[in-house]
Amino acid sequence: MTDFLYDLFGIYGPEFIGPTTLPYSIFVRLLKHCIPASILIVAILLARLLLREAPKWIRCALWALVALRLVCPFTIETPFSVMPNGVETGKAVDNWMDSYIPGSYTVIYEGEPGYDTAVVNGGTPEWNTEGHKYVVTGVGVSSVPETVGNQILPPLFYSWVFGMVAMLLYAGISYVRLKHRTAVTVAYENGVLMCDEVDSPFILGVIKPCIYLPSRMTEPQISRVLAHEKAHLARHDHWWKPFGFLLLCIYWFNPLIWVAYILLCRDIEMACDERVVREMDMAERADYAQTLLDCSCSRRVITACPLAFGEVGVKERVKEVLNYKKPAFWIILIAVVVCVVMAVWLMTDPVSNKSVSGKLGISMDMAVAEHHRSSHKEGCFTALDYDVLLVSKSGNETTVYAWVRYEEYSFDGKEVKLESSSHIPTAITFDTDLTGDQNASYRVIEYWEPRDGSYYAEDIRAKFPWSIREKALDITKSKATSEECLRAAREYFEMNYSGEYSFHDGLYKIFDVDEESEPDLLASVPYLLINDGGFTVVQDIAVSYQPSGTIERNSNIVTMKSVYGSQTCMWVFELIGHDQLKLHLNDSNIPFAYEKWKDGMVFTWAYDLNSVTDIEVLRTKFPEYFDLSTTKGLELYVWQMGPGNYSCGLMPGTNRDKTLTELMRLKGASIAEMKAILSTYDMDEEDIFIIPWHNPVSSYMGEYGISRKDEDPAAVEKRKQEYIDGIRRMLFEGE
Amino acid sequence: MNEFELGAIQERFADIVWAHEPIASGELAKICEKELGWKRPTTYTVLRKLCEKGLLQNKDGIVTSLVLREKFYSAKSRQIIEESYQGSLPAFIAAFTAQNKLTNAEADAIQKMIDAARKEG
Repeated sequence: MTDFLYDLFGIYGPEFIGPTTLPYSIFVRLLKHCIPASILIVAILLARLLLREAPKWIRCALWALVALRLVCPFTIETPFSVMPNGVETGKAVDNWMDSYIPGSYTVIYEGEPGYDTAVVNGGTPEWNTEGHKYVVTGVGVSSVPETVGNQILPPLFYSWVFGMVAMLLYAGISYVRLKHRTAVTVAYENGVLMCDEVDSPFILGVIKPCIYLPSRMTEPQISRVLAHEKAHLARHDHWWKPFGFLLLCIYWFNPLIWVAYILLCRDIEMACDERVVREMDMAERADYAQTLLDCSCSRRVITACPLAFGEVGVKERVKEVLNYKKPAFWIILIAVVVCVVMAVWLMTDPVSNKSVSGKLGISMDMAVAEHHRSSHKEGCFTALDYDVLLVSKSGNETTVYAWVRYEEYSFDGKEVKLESSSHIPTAITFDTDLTGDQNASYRVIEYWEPRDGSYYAEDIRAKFPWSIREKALDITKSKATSEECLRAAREYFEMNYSGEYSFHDGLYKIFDVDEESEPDLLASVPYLLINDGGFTVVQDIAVSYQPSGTIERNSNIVTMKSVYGSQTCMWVFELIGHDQLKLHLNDSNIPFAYEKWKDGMVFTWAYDLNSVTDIEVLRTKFPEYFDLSTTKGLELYVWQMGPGNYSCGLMPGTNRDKTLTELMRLKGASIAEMKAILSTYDMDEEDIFIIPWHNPVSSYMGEYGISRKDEDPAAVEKRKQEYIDGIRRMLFEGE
Repeated sequence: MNEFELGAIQERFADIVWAHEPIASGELAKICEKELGWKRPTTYTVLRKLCEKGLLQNKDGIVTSLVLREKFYSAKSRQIIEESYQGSLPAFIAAFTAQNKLTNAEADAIQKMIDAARKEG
């Protein structure tokens, strides 16, 4: 139930700190409602000047719009809305809540001392306009900064509660006293009671309303008064007035609401008079006016008291009654049109942009790809799908709120396989000011993802505007599908490696080489690297020239072309199956240095490139994992980007824990690669410590990490150990 | 306390007492229920009020009047009834007229308006 209420009212709160309990949320939500309601009230006040000739019930209808706006948490989006941008999301209020109280915070940039500590303690990194990362903390680095939200909001909240309770108490006590006063009554007719203690006629009761008349009243006054009171009943004013008062109790802190209520009361009275007098001729109206006068007259001279709450002076009412003219049809029509127009303009919210296209779309793609770059598997196809929830523009900044689906697919020649997948509600803020390069994509100011675990929902609630919050919290609502990504991946692989005559990227080697008969063969034709539509002939390090170029495929003939100076070289192969290339020397044009190439030589696919275990290739790829100091052993960190997708990093053993910054700098090597790297170290297996780690970049947590409720910590520990043992087996035992 | 200041309903109650006195309070309650639609506690409340005003008395469960009916009504016609200001109504109540009172001058002005309208209409 509380979850539903949270979603309904929208929990507010900066990601870092702030009161996030339900009562505070409700109060902040009311503050947000005030702004559009106030705008509407001002507009209505202006509209009333135009509507002077119109029937009075129109004015009441306008106040009904205000009530609706104050009560309803949902609005409809239309393209006609004139509400300023940001009002519907209450961004102004959110910003105010998040603003820091001067003198109570410090800003620490990345690289400065204390930055890491602040991040570890829960601070959220943000980017400034120059693209520098920083974190805001309290005056002590590990303490919490003071914001309006957590300092000023609580006293405001309590004042609000106090005011509201005071008003409700007043209402309650008045009602009880009135009930007491009207204890002794005699029925005049059905629903009409006479009472000694009543000075002026009124209606009491919401469910079973009764009209109370002063007992001294006589005909013909009584029937005229009853006409008026019955008009009140017919218009259900005995509901509207108390309801309006209830809203007044809630929104008492907004002076415009008081103005609205006072005018509402007056409009109700006038509308009632109008209804009574509608079908009367002048004589009858004069009689009615006389009753108005008589009822408010005292037989003694008393100095005039000021009009009480929402009262219309008798003079004004008499005037209206006497001067009443049935309004022409077209006046009513105009008035209704004005109402409808106001409703659409001011009750609805501007349509939020739901798609990203053009430059913004490209910038999105690049931002997402860049964000995942460190975990990108080579040779994999990156597929992206978005479900854009909101595009919010503010000056030179545009923020896209979307479900981002990022998937990587590999192709083994036969099937497209999903290698990794992430599906995260993301908010990316771009700088759309392109004073520099017009062709460049927008610079990313902030790439925001929620933190894992218990922070996940909280972070989303803090970051996402309330109108899309529900969709951002519920993954089943996301329209970014895996099917779409799979389709894109299939299309790509089809195009490049389609059908019958397809072969996959990777390293191709000649197997079955008789070392004794041809000892130089390995040296002169070691292997082919094929990757992304290009090839490289990789020789021994001693040879300086390593030809590379493009690959073309024509049914089962594969041609590799390389331009070397003025010479174009060509290797022509025949595809056998999906993983063998047979050299057709007669069709090829190989540079003289490669006379060892023989017709009919068969290169067989050996490895995916990302698991090339050739030490020299790995040395260029992961220089930081070689030649580390092993005096205190080695620390091998393992994390997962997806099921079955392990990434490894290596660091020298030390006595201290590694910092988050250090860990996040680790480049992910595959199991096979790390295996090869470890083989360059001459040390005992026991001296290599395997440490599973949850990389914040990944949304996937290794199987060991999820502990079920009430689980024995020993059992959790056991699972973790099993996980580590599994990793160890993969790394150190035979293929 | 002016014993002659009664509301119209209280007068009706007094009339019932005058018509049936001396009467047992239980009997009186029955009659009030029939004629005025009152429950017992209501009757006793009003009875108590009029006893406080010195108009009636309730001795040993028998109700009698202390002032003769004729005397009461002749005194009343001589009295200028003061209208007591009963207190303003709460803001959420739909009432007939404003609670403020008019000065004579204001009342006259409005009366003129009404008369003028009558002539025209």
